[in-house]
Amino acid sequence: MSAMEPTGAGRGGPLTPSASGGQMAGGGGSLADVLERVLDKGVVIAGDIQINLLDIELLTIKLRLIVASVDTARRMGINWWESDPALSANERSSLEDENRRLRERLEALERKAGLLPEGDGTPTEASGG
Amino acid sequence: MDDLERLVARSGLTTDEMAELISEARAEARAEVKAEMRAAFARRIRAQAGGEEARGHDEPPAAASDATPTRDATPAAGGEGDVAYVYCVADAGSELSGGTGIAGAQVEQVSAGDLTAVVSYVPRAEFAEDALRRNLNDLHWLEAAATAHQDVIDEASATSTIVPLRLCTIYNDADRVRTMLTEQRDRFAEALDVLRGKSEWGVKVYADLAALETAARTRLGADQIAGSEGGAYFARKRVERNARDEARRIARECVEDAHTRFSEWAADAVVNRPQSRELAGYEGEMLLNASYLMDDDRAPEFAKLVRELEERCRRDGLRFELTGPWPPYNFVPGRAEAVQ
Repeated sequence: MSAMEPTGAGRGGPLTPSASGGQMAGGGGSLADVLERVLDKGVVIAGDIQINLLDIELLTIKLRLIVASVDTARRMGINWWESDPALSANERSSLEDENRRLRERLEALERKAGLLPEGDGTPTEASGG
Repeated sequence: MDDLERLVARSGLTTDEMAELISEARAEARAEVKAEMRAAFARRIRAQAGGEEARGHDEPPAAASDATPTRDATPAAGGEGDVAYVYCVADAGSELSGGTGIAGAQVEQVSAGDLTAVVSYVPRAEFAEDALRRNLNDLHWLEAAATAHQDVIDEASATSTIVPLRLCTIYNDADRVRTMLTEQRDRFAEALDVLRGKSEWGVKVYADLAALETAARTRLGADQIAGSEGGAYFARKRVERNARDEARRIARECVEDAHTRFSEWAADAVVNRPQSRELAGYEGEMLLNASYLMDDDRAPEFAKLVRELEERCRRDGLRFELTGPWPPYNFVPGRAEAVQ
């Protein structure tokens, strides 16, 4: 990433052949590219200075949230990242919990309304993804 | 509800899509609030624990126990009051150029056994827990630190196979870094084996939605509109209705095809969430944000493939962007599994 843009405001460059050896090089990354990697990826080992990892996660969640409300890719059905296990476990499990609770309530209601036979309502479908 | 309906009409979204957005927004807002509360609680608890610790402890901290940070240890190397910041780990004896790291400090190597860590010394005052927490949430500080972190790792990975560490992995002194290398030896050795001779490449696909829909309309309408007068009216209506669906189909097909072909070339692949527009500052919509782990000798062919697919999809309003080579952040073993 020798062509890193320090301001991070711009995009990575276009596909350009590097000057030497005919090897192809991609553009430099934006600040978002760098943050996505250095905050969220790489080896995590506990150092002597314990930064609470939550603080970093909090920050990445915030960065993620800025896009989440206008998520065109998701509306187009290109939402493969949602099955990414790297997604914050907390974010995921809270949604999964809610999903499960809603499902249970729905079933209880259906049973009350006589739509389901008694006792035949064990949820079998796995949640998530 | 009037407001909502006006919003729906203006946005061009269907009511279903709007409802979906609202429920997503609600779930995400809840997660955000929960995270903030969690952080606030954690700070409070830590503050209380710290106060008691300061009152209760007279004996020196046990150096051997790695679970308890030895906060008051004097650094063995670096200035008084400096701590050792670790960027990445490589095989001992790797050719690593020096250069400067965070805050312009000289980058050095700390070795133990067959491994070496790339480190520099940073002021404890700036990187101790409380200051660090504040600094990490200051985007300017974060940007400078992240850029320096990445630059050092990038420099090292240009000449050697390295395992990148997450931002702000910090030890009291060089001895503690050696202890870490010894303890984590197998994990690093395994990671180095997996990553040897490979680099990470990022591919993003952006859509210009207007161009995409125009392309969709053209594809749908070209033959249908050429009917009788009355037929043409209904054909146009149908085209309008279907254009959005067709646009989605075109985009999805193009992106899926691209990702499948890139994955065939790659040793491993990871799909990440589209990036924040505010932060990344791109135009259009980000449909794909993926990383591929690539053998270095396949990289030129891969770049060619990216260009080829871009040329094919360009008429539909889709744009590809290739970045790299990156240090293999996304492919450190033991982290996220590949998404196929």
